[in-house]
Amino acid sequence: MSVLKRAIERWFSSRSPLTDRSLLSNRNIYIIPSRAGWLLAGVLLVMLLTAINYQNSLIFGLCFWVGSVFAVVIWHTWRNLASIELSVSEEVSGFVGGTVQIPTDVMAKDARFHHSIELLWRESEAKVSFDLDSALKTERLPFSSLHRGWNRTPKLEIRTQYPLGILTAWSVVQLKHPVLGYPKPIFDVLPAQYAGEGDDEFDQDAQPQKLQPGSDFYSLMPYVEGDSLSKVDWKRYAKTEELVTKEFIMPSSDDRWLREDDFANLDTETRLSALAGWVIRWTEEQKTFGLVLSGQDIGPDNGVLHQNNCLRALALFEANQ
Amino acid sequence: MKSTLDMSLHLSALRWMLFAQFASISIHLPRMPWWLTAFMLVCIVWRWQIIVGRWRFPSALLKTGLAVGGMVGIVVSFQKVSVEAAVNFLILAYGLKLIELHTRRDAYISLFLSFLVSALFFLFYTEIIAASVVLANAVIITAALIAMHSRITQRASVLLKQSVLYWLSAVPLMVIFFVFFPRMSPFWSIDVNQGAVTGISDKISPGDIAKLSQSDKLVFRARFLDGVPASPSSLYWRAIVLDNTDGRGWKAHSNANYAGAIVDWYGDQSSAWQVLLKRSEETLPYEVILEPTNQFWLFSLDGSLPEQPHVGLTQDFTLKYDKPIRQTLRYQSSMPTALTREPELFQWRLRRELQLPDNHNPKTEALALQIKSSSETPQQFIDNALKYFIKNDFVYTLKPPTLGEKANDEFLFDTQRGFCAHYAGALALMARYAGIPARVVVGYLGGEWNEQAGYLTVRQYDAHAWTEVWISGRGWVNVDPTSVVAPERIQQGLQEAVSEENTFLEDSFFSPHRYKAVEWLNDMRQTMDYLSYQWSLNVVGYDVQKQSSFWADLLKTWGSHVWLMVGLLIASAIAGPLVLWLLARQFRHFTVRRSGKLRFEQQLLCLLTDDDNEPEQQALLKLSPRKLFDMLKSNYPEEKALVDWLSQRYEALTYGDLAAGNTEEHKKHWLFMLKRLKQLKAN
Repeated sequence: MSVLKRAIERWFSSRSPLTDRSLLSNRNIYIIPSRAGWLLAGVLLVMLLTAINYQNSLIFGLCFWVGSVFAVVIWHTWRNLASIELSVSEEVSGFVGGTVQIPTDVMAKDARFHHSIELLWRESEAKVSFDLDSALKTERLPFSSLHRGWNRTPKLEIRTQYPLGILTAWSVVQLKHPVLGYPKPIFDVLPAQYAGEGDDEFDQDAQPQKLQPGSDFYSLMPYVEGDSLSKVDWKRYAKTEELVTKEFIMPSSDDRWLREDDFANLDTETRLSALAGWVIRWTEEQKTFGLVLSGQDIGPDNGVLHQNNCLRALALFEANQ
Repeated sequence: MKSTLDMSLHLSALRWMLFAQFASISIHLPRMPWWLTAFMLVCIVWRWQIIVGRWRFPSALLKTGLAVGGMVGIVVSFQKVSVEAAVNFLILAYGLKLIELHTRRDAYISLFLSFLVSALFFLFYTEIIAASVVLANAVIITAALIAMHSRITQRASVLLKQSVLYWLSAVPLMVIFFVFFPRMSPFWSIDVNQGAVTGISDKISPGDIAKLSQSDKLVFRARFLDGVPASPSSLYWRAIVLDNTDGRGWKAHSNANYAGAIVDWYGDQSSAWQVLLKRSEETLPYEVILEPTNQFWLFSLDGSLPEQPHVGLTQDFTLKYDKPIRQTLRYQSSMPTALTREPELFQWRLRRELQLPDNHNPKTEALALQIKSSSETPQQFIDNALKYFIKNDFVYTLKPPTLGEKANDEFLFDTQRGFCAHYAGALALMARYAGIPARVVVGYLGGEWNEQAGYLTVRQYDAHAWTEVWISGRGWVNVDPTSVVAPERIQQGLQEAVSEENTFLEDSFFSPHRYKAVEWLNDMRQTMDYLSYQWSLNVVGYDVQKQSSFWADLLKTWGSHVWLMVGLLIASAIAGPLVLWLLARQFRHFTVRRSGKLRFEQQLLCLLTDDDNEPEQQALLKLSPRKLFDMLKSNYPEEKALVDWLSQRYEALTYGDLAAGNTEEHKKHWLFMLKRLKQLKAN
């Protein structure tokens, strides 16, 4: 069975090349009776037997007519899927081990209204269903088996049973969704030269919750939803039940460098994870830092954009794709 | 057990489903026992209450109770296994399913069963109108299926239009299936019990036929295969011979018309009765399309022999079928142009045809003997007896007075008013009193000849009774006393015969047959009749026999290419609607795009000239569009930006990058531009 299944999947792969956009047409739409369709076929068989047994021309006629409607609806079901274009949407990224919602742009290239379309990964349960017209719609499907670097998303299936539910028209599409997997961050690894020591700059930075107020702590601001919880002044909360966030002043002079070499003792993936952890932490602390990866230097800079650049570099570091 | 609705269907879909289910049940309502009708209505109401969330699903106990109760009800109501019982059982099951419909799958089952439930209607009714009703149901069921699969609520008109489109575009394929799908003989045989059908019976007392004459129900249609007889509507169609009288009414001899009687079946070697018929070589072949009668007998012209399986000849020279006729039946036979029936009479037969009633009619006997004394031959006796009717001003009426025990005496001497059966019965009895073998024949006389289509329609009001007397050497001779009392009955039919007393179909005010004088009504009725004739001949009557003769015809016309031709036919049936659709789309594409553009250009020309200055507009049409826009710009210098925009858009839509867009978009563009152009004018 699984051999057969694999053969089918291989066949689909050969039929649906990896692309950025795919227009559904008679080349890639398949259609078979659904379970309800087989049920109707059964009812028609009963009707046919009745007609034969009672030699009733009109029951013959109705039976053949319903059967012919069945045949005609093949085309209508097909047409409900045809001319839909699927294309990759904006780039998404996530950490290995997390889940990302992968957007797919769908749009009907003809001016018709397409009813009850379903979009799903071929190998998972999650699906979305929607109606479609010539306006662009972005539908998102969850994806959780991320690995580092550019990810290849599973085959997408788009299908419909409209109008009568007796037939399923579907198509298998492989889109080159730009999905970037960042290394899964690790937060408790110190650079090799500091390992085992507890009183240095790195260590201090590694545990921002232990920061002494007054060093680069600047002021307290009322907590706003979205603020990092690690910056909440919990001591104050315990006393006054007032949530405040500690604002840190931008360190201007002492730029830090995050070097790949500092973690030379680790294997590549762990090393990248550790670097990712530090990138996130320092961005959260609004520190200015630079990243030195073999072959490229990034920064020094700060902010979310910088973080993304760094994570991107880490994600793509020696990535196969 | 679930107690809530778990179907993720919106209210509109649920409403459509219920509507479809109600429609397929409703056509059966009149045929159901009253309690089942009530039960189905309760199920539907219950279903609705579940849908709107007011009631819950019935408990398992209640459902079981309803199912058992319903089955007991069916058994009690129908007593024996019959199609009617089976159909009602299916309907009961369908109703029960309604109140325990939880999932989408249940909904599918219910809707698909609706097709089957609707189809079963055809077991009982096969008229065009029945087919239309079932088709309407099928369209509604399909619309319900569409509604079920829409995420949005679509308007009823949209759903129905779509459903009708599917059904119409499936017609060619359906026709191909209908014509070419091999018809086969039934696997097992079950009678469809039709219940009582009005029509002649094998027992008549005076007045029975008069009652029958109040019905305009179709009995059969006949057409003549080679040449039409001079007056097709004065042919006597025999159904049954009545030779046993009680002095009041007549009935068939006890073993004459039932299964088991000696009958010369088609294909049998023995021919007990056929040998008694001396038929001429020349015959008049005819075909009868008979509506269900629930009886064994067939209607045939004098001297007809069985010409197809299941048909047999009885000892009374009538045709019969080997089972009751429950469905429309087509059969052929032929009438000899000259005929002698039974020139010699067996002794047992002579005794039977001279049987006299225990209930003595002394005055009738006296009259018969008196006429006999003044006649030398049996033929003279008959002539004199008929003269007696004329001389005494007997009246032909649809409303004969009720007669007592000595019915013939009262009729001949007191009331002297009667319908065909009175005259036929009285004459036969008089002949028997005079020692001449005689009997009454019941059947149909007349009918309406449809000139264009060339067929005869015979209805219940054409029912007739006449007399048959046996004359040595000549055999059985038809004598119709009605022909002397009311000759117009024979020549013009019943309506004319009773026109003075105005009793024709007097209880059926709305019967179109009453108004034959209203020309357009009559034309319409004849057309409808023709349609229903074609329907029952070619659609309802399309059976194994018809199919094989159709094949034979095809082979004859197309020879060895027959498969190629059939293949082409099937291919065109499938491709036809597709091609039509493509053409329609192209056409629509063209018209919409053109009309938007045309309207814009028209408006542009109107702006540049006077509204109705045609010649000037024609001249402007020769200029290039750009030139026209330049003129517009000089006319409206302060709107230069707008005109520039219009000019650019015009070029883009006509020649440029927008020209390839889809129809709807184009329409929007042009309408938008038109609006701006009109604004220009208003400023």
